[in-house]
Amino acid sequence: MAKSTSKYPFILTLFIAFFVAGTVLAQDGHDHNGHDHAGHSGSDHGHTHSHAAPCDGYEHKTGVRDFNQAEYNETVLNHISDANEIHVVGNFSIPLPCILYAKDKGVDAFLSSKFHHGHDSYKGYVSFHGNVKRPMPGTGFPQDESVAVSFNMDGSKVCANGKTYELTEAGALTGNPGKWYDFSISKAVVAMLLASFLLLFIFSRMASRYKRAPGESPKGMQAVFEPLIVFLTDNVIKPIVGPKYIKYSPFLLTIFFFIVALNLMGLIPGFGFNATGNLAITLALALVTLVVYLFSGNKHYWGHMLWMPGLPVLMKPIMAVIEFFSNFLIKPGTLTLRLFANITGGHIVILSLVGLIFIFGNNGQSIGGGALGAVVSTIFVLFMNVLELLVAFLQAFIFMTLASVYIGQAVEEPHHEH
Amino acid sequence: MTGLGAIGAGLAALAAGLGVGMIGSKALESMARQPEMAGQLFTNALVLAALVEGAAIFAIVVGLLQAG
Repeated sequence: MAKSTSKYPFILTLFIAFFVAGTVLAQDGHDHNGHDHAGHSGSDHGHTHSHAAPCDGYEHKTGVRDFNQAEYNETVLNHISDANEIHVVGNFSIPLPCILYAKDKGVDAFLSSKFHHGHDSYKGYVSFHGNVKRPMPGTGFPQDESVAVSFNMDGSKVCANGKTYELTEAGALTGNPGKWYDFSISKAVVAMLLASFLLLFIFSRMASRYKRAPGESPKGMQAVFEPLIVFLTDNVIKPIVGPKYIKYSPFLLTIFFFIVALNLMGLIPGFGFNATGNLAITLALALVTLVVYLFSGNKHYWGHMLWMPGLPVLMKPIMAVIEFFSNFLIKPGTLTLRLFANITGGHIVILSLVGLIFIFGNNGQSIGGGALGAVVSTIFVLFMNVLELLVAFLQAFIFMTLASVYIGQAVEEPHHEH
Repeated sequence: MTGLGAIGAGLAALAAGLGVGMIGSKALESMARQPEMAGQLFTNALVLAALVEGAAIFAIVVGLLQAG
């Protein structure tokens, strides 16, 4: 394949270089094992680093301790939720830009490495297990200096300088008690950007090759994607959407490959890109589908929905209500929840099976138990990962099929049967 | 009550098994009757199984919400 003047390798290299640069600049070099506030000889960061007495029960848990189911449940939930940094292993994490807007303070944009793995506050915000939270404004939490903080067990309160403050989540759906919004480039956003770049790169290379030499036998990437795309178009999109399928097939195929890419990225161990396991992302995909099939509905479709022909007159209003809710609520709702629940369920099962190692080895205290746990867990996790691989493709296929069904219903021409 | 979430999730797994099993049995029977349609039948059976599993997954999510 001749090297075309494609700018996508350059953009991807820039992307990766940004991450490497940010990560390298953010590693502060001192280890946080057994972090003990009392003995720390501070200010190598160049800012005031206060070490007043921590509050009772808010100290960092360090050292080996027995396996605690509640603590492991929290670890699992942390691994599948979105975060403001990419936590790879131990103390090494790739920091991500935090873009925060508070009504009383304006926009604050900084790299999440300023939180020093959650030990310090920054500009009045704190980071609990990788998620940015804000102490309730107006309660006297230090806004301009960085103080050392510690959290209680479930992350609802933070302690700084011996006083506890209540933590608030970013606004919109939580009632916005702290009056702030989080627009950061979080892990899920990075996953979506990576998936989009990957797809753009692959498909633009393929398309340029088709344009340059039409009719040539497929080589390389084309040999993988062409049968897949032909299968999807001929067996799913064309029969279901009908004669106008050309207009909608780019959208449907994009949905399929985007969801496949995101699902597969979620299976890579270590990075934790749980994008399609995020309700917001699947809701966005479902809403886009909703907009497409609503705006492509012809008069026949709306007529059928609101005043269904072929029914006794008394039943028509009931059917109108049912059809209305089905079109606006149930269809996008089930699209959202099906993808979210399948992917998140799979991730939770895999993480729980990995937890077998910790259960058998009692958090590292029993080596024989740990080894046995590793053997058992590897077998189970292998099976689950193969199943998740199948689910990744199947759920994308289902989403695309259902989207084409809804679009096909919307563009259907009247049969003139009655 | 504690444990109700687990009972709900178990019932959902039971329902999913029943549903997919029924789809599978009918699909295999049809494939045996008309082997040349086997590919199409398999694809359709997979799609329907995913839809049935979707309903079971809703129940699992509700069980998780109750328990967690």
